[in-house]
Amino acid sequence: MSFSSQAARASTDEGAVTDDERLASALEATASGDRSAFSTVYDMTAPRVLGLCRRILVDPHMSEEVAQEVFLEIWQTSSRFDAERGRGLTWILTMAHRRAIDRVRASQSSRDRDLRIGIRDFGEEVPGVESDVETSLEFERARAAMGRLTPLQREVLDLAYFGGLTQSEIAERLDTPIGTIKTRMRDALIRLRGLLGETR
Amino acid sequence: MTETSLDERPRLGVMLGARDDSEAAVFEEVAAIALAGLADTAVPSPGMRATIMNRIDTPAPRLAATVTPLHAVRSRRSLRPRRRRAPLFLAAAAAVVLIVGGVGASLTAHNAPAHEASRTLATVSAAHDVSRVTSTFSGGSAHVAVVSSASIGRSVAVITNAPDLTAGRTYELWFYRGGRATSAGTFTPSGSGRDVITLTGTYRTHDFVAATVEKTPAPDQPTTPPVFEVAT
Repeated sequence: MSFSSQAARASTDEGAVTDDERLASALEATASGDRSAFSTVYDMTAPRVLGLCRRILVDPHMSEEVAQEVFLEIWQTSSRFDAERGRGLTWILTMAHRRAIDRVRASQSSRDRDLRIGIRDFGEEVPGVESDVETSLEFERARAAMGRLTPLQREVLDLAYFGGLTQSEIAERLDTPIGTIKTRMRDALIRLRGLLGETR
Repeated sequence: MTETSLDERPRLGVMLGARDDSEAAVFEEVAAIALAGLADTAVPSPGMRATIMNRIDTPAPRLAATVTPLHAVRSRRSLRPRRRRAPLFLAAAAAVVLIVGGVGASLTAHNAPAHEASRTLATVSAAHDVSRVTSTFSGGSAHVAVVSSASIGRSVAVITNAPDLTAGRTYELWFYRGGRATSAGTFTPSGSGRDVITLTGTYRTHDFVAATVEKTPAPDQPTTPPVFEVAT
């Protein structure tokens, strides 16, 4: 069984879970100009897209701006989504991450980003979330998997993914050889892949 | 440190240390599940959805007209045997220069009101025998989805980011069937970045659908290599 199908099957919570086939079908129909299908894509993914933007950008107004840009890009480029190459949610969240990080990098210097990000403890609640928080099985699995990484591995992933720092910037920030950073990051992702693939 | 633009940065998987595209896709999936999943979901404001829907319904300002060299298309229809490629058109490796034409009296411009074309699209999309084929053109920056139904007898082209044309030129659509091309109408880009065009005439199963750029008045037969061509 592929990693993708394992991850998709393991998610069962209605609110935050993506129905992979339904989302892929909606994206395919969106590519043909189906406005109703696009609404389905929005309804299925907007809370998670906005949540990711909020986590990276913090500012609620800026987060909604970027989330809007993400959905406009989905509308314009849904033809590029290929269900045979990955999940629709992955495609969408990768797009959201890229836009949010781009906004961060455009508005802040590297030093400012370092000071703002800090090193998060993944056991803490995320501050500033105003709306109902959906606790999904997928989220719980992700949190558990992250907890099994070493603190150094979590640190580099935090800086890279939520901080948008390059490996070079992380190496400079942590005063660590870039080769070590690369190995640490790659090992962490491979470890996560294995952990997520082990769960039901 | 040099800030790179959104389009210049490597893909996320590469930024996370992947060594090739395959591994990058895996890392991106891990990131989407394990890392993005750490971010709590947030309920959008009531106006966010309306704002997005309004923006997709509002045409963007028309871009300055440019003549853009087009590259031959590649069909994304998998499992389609190459032997079914339409012999009317040249091989896919040729670059295409835009030649623009107007609309002849015998041809009906199907840059129809958006709601009419959208209604036809919805009808065709709901047909039991709907066929969807996609392709790219203009070096990959433009995209076409051809949605067809033989039971309804209609084919609709949804075209994204079609390059603007200079004055006196138009895109002309064609059905190619049995060794012969039949004009299926003409259109000029609306400027919104997305055009929905109902092809003139009756669609039949396995028709090829293609587009060329012609000088006005639009001819009865193609005079230039195709901008795109797809086998339905």
